[in-house]
Amino acid sequence: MIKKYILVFNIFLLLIVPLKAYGKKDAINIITTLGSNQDIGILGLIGGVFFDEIKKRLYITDSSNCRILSYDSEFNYLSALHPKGDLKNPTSILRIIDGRFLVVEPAKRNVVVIDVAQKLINLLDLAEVPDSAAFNPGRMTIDPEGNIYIIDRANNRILVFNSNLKFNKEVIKESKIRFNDIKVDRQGYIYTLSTLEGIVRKYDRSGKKILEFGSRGKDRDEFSFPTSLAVDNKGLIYIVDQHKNKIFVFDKKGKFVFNFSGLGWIEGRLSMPSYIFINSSDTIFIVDRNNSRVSIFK
Amino acid sequence: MWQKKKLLYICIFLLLALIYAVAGGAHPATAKTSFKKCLECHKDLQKEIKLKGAHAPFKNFNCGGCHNPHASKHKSLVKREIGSLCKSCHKGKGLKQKFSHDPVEKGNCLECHDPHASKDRNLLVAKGKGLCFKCHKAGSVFLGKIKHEPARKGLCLKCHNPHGSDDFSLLRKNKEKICISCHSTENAKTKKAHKFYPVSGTECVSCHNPHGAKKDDLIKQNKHKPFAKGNCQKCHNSPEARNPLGLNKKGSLVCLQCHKKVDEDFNKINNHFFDGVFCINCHNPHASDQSGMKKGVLKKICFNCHQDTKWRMSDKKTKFLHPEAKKGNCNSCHDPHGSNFRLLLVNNEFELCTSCHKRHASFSHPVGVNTIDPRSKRDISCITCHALMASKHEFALQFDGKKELCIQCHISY
Repeated sequence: MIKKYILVFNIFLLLIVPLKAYGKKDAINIITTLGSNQDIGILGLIGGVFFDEIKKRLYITDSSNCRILSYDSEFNYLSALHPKGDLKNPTSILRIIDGRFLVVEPAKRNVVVIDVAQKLINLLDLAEVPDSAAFNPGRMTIDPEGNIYIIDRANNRILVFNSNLKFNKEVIKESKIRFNDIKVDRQGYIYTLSTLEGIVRKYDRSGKKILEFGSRGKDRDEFSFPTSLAVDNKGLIYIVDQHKNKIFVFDKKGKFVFNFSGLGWIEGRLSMPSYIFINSSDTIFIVDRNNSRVSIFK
Repeated sequence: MWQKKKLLYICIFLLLALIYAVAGGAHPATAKTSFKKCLECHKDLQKEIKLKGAHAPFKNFNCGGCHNPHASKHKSLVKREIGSLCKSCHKGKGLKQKFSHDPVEKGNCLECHDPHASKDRNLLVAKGKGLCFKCHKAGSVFLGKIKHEPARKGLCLKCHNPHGSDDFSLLRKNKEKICISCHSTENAKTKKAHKFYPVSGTECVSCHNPHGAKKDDLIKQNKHKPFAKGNCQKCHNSPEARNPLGLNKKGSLVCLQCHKKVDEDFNKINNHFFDGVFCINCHNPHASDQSGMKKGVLKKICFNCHQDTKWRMSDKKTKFLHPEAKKGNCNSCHDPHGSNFRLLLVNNEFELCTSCHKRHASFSHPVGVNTIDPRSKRDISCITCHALMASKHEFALQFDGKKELCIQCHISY
C-alpha cells in the first residue's frame, strides 16, 4: 500500500515540478525583433526605446545615424525623424503628454525638446536647476502623471520636471551613488540601478529609500554588469545584465525569481543587451546592442 | 505475527548499532596509524614534520585532512582545489576585503605558503623580499637608484597586507595615514617643499613612489605640467585660502578646462563621465610612474570597476584571449574616455581589427556592411566569430573552429 502511495507521489512530483519550472520560463516569449532592413537601412548604435501609450507608437533612437525611428503598435516601421544638424547622437528618449519628444543628447550635455508639430527644437530649460552648469543627463523616465525624471550624472542626483517641462525638484541626491538607469512604476515608486555596485534601489515619491537589493558576483542571482531596469504591472523588477546576456527578474521584495534569454544571435537570444523598457501591456523591449536590434518579448 | 516482526526489526537495529559502534569507534585509531605510514614512503617529509612551525594537521598526522590516500582528480592527491581546500579552515583570508591579492583570489595559496612546514613563519616559502620579489620583480618596484628604507630591506608587510585590503594597493592603513605613521609633515623642510599647503592627511603616494625613485624626494617620474612648474594654483586655491586644497573649478571642469580634446570625448554616445573630479579615478593629478599620468597599471585601473571582465578573463575555462587583452593593454582597442562605437571601441569593429590584422582586410570571410549574419540579420564583423575577451577555443573563436562555428550560419553543411 505504502509503495503505491510513494509511486503516486513520485509521479505527481515528476509531473508538477517540471511543469512549474517550464511555466516560468515559458511565460516570456520573443515576439519579434526590429533591426536593419531595406526600409530603414543599417541600424547603428541604439540609444533608447520608448513606447508612447497615448499614440501607441514605438520610438527607437538610432544614435549613430542621428535619427528617431517610429513603429506602430504592430511594430511595423512608419517613419524616421531626422532633424539634421539639430540632433547629433540621441540616446535616451521619451514623449511627454503634449506630444513633444525629449531626447538626451550627450554631445550637448543636455536634453533636446522636439516639437514635431511646431517644427521646433530647443534645449530643456535648466535655469531653475541648482548647479546646472555641470549638468550631464543620463537616462530619463516618465511617471503616470507625466512628470519627467532625469539622471544628472555630474551631480549624482535625480531631477524631476513637471509635464510642462518646468523644473520641480531634486528628488534623490546621493553623493556616493552613481545612477545608471531609472524607472517609475504605476504607483509612483522610483527604481534606480547602479551598475558598478550592482544595486537596485527603490524610493517612494519623496525620495525616501524603501528597498535595496542586488550585488555583483559569480552566483546565479548575482549580476556581472547590470545596465538597465524596468518594472512590469505585477511589480516584477527586470534587470538587464549586459555581460551575462540575460534578463534577471526579481519580485517586489527584491527576491530573485528567474532569468531568461542568454548569449546568442538568433531571435530570442541577446548579445550585450543594454536597455530595457516595459510598456503598460507588459510588452518587454530590449536593446540588443551587439545584434543591432530591438528584441520584443511578451 | 506482528509481534515477531517487531522483535526481528529491533534485533536487526541493535545488531547494526553494535557493528557501527565497533567499526566506527575503531576507525580513528586505525586512521591515525595508517597516516603515520605515509612518512615511510614520503621520506622528505620526515624532517619537515619536526620543524617548529609545521602545519598543525600535518604535525598531527592528519594527512587525510587534505589528501585522499587512494585517488583524487587533483595534483598531489589533494581532496579539493588548493584554494578552496585552504579556505575550508582559513576562512575569509583576504576575501572579506574589497581588494584581494591575486594569488589569494585565484586560490594559489602555495605561491607563498608551504602546506607542510617551513623554517619561516606563517609557513612562508621564503622570507621578505625573497618571497615578494619572486613575482613583483625588483626592476618594476624600484624605478630609480634611491630606495625607500622598508622597501630596500624587503619589509613589504610593514605597509602591505599580503592577503587583502580595502585599499587598491593592499595597504595596511589607508593612504592618508600610512606614511605619517613614520614621517612627520609638520617640520619646516616638509612644509616648504609642499609650498605651505597643508598636506597632512593627504595621499602622499599620489606624488611619491613609496618604493623608490630617481631622486631623493621619491617623487614619481612623470609630472603634471602645473605640478612640475610649482603652479599649484592652476587647479587649487591659494595656500592662504580657507580651503587651500580646494579646487578652483567644480568637479571635472578643473581638468577639462585644459584638456579640451578629452572633454570632447566625454560628449560621445558611450562615455566614462561620472560625478565630481572623476578624472582622478584613473589618473594621478600630480605625478605618476605610468604613461598618461595613470594612477597605476592600466589593467588594474580597468579591473577596479570591470571586475566581471577580470573574472571572465581569469576563469579556468578561458584558454584564449586577444594578446593585447592578455597584456592588459585595454586601450589598444577601447577608448577609456568616450566613443561613438560599440563597447567603447576606438573605431568600428572592422577598421579597428584590420588596423593590425592587415591581411584580413583583403582576405578573409566576407565581412562589412554588405554582409548579413543570417542569425541576427546584422552585418558580419570580426566579433561575429571571435570572442576576444575570453574564449575556450583557439584563435579566441566564439565556437570550436573545426565545425561548430561554421555551421552556426552554414546550416546545410
